[in-house]
Amino acid sequence: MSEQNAFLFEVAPHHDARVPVAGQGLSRWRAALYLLLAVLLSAGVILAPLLVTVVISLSRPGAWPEVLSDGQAWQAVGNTLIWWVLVVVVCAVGLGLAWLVRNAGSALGLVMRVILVLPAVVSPLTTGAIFRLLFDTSRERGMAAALLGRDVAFLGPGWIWLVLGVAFVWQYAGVAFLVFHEALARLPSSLLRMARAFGVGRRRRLWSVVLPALAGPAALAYLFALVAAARVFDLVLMGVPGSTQALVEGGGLYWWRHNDDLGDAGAAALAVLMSLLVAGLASPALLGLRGRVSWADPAPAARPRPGRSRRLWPLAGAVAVVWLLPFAALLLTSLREPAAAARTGWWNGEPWTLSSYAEALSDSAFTGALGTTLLRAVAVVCVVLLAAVPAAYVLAHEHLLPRRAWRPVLLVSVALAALPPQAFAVPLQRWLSPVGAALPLIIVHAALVIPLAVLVLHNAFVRVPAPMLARDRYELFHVVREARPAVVLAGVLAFVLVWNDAVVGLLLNWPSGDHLPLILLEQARHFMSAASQLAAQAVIATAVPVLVLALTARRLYRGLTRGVRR
Amino acid sequence: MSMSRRAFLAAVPAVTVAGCAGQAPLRVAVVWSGAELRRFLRVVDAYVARYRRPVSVYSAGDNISALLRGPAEDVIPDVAVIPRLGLLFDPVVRPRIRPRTGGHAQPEFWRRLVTPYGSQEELGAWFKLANKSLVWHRAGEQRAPASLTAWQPRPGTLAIGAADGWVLSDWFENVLLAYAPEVYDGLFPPAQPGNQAWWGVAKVTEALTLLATIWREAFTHDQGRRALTMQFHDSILEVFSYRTADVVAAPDFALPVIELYGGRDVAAHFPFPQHGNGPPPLVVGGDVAVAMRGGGQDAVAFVNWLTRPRADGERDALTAWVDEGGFLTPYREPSHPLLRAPARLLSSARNRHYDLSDRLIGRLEGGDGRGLWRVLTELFTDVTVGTVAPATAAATAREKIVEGAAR
Repeated sequence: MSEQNAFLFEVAPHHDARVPVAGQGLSRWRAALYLLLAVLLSAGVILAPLLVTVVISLSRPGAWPEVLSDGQAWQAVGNTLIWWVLVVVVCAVGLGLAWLVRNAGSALGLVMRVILVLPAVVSPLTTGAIFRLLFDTSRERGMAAALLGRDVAFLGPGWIWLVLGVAFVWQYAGVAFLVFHEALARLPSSLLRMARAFGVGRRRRLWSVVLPALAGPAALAYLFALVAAARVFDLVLMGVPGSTQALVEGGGLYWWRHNDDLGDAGAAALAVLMSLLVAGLASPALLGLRGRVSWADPAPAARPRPGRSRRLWPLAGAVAVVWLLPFAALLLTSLREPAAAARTGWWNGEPWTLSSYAEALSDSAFTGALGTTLLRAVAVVCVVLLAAVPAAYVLAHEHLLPRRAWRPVLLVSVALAALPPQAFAVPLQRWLSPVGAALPLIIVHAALVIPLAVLVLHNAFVRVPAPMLARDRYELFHVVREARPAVVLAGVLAFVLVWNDAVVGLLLNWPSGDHLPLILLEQARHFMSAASQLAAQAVIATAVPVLVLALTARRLYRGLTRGVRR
Repeated sequence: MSMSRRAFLAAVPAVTVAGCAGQAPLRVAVVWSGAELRRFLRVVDAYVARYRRPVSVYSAGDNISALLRGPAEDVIPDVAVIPRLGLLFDPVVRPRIRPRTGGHAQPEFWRRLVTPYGSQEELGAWFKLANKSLVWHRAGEQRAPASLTAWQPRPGTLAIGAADGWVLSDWFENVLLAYAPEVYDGLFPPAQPGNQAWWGVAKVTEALTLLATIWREAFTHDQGRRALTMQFHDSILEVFSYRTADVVAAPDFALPVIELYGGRDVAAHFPFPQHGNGPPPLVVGGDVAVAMRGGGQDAVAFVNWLTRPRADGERDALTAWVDEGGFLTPYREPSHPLLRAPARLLSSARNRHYDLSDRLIGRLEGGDGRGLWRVLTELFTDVTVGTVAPATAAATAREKIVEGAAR
């Protein structure tokens, strides 16, 4: 592999050293069949309802002007832009942390990776609960207020953005860190060295070498955080007191509260407006993704000087403490006696008890939801892989589409992945209602994850070298075997997204309330006095994805950074 | 997880079969959570034991209206216990309700509330009632103020859980009912459809100004910001556990919370102050159990069973709930001395008025971040956190209300 020198040899002619394309591969029809499930699911569950939503929004002439002149709706849409700022902050923090530890030893790098990524699998609902606990107004209960020694209304107007920003960064900066960490390790160092030798200035080097090399990873990190921000919902619902929610809610939450008042057409218009906004905000990511995200094998990096690595340990220790503190707060709160946990913060210690866990596990609604959610998540993983693997395979290996056709597919996939569920919930709800919600919900969840899964899998599949022998009918299995890390990544992504979902559950399956985060959400009614019980439920709910993460960590990492086995 | 793979594979069909074999559970949606929900589950256990019919209870919280209005009829619960009377008359929800038949007779005042105008059908039966016109304080430390205008709590003495919109709307209702009962009656008269035009009269602005003035006096800038982050339970903790405030206006169901965090025999209450020479306001609320059409006759039977009067001397989970406080019914006097008088008022007082915000539907309907709740939250913010004069803020609030009522 000499891609690290790709820039040097840009003028050299490319020899296509791959196996000749002629007379092999799938027939056009077979290839189309491979795409069928993914296309059907995406089209049926996302695109068709989206179109219906657009039609509904135009069905009443006054709907658009009404929404566009609604001050409250604009406030919510404006808040979406503040959330977008937080997305940029997340990327910046990820890049900053990656830059700080770029020369650290491998042990330190591993520790940082594990600790920083852990919050990404926590549900936003739990994140909201944790940070509401930490930033409670009373100095008796809120850690931040206790450190200041006086009551501070962190959760009130104004300051609330600080709390939400910290929570959002805590949750997603790890993913950005991971992506940038890998990218920095693979900077074309020889090119940089050469540029320096030729006297190219610092700024120029940054502009023409470092930035192009970081664009792809940055786009990935940005897109990931943007999807999280565009769908921000349960973080606000759980983490923000009712009085302040209206000040910080994004378009999605506003839509959910007011779709009755807005009327069918008005609600549809708002949903379309939100979709356009998200699409607009997602488009910068396409610039970065256009040149495919590609990782060369790591340069034989100069071993970090031991002195520098040692100097980094205190810093890394501080970051680790900050990142693990929320977990500790949640765990300790869950272990306290409920009445004590309502009155005082977790650092007060005694009395310890397991009663909140006993209560959670003896609550049939909770244990039932635990089982249902697990079955649902596993079923969704199966459907996603069944649909996305063949689709990504066909797209990656030019059976049906020439390579340049990938770009529009990429565009559509990114757009679908970032779309807020409110944009298609209403028509979908109507279509589903005769069928009941339990089974179709699996399909809806699957359809929502498929675009993302295709993106991830495609990225890996294109890098699987074709087998030496001519392509045969088992090539799909060969590709899947080689790209196992990416397949695991897609599966885990689907599992975590479904396990932590509250939005789709609320929009489409609200009444049956058999999804775990919805059970947790019940506790928001009396937040502080239910702190211990809520924390216990959240710990149990968080343990499952953390366990999945721990079991698949090695593969996940390879899946995210390279996608293929070797 | 020490379960073997075989055991797991065996368990999946076992669970599925068990689910299919039994009767489908009766789905009951409620709004409570925490201790109240546990109490309710205990009441329901008796039904399961007696009729061998499984019941699944789901707490929808303050968003129960979204649940009942959902587009998918077949995922609507069989029975709902609703704290918002207005929902019963919502154009989407009402056709989905199966009117109550059989069962016990309800007291006239309460029966009329669940009966649509010009109809004899009772849509539901009252399960739990609440007296929302009480002001709680530590025993022996406060005296009832002479009147509403004389009530000027000093900064830091009043606790309000302003994070919960219903706390603010209870305040507003008490002040409006004390100051301008004719507006209250005009909006929702006892026996005919009300007239929303009453929101436009000057007395509404005056009542809002009075309310805003009390809030302004009672909170400094910082305290107002803090109050906005306090929920109902937090405000009770402030008075009875941290002792950082002296009084809190709260319904009767504050008592079990007070006793849990503050101990027994620490609390006392006085009625919400009256205006001038008028009677003290009496805002009442409650949770009404309704059978939905999907639940069939079983749902009606369940509603009747759930809300039935208990005979003298009968003991069950519900009477235990009544005795320990936090639960009032039309049929049984609580044993707690602090609650006896408030309970008696619910069944006899002439000036009972049902909670106004719980009857609103449409744009003014409450819920976090919407309707009247949002208007009052903004009013509270304007006069405590902000520096807007009470009269100006009140005028703005009334405009928002009138606009909401018109749409």
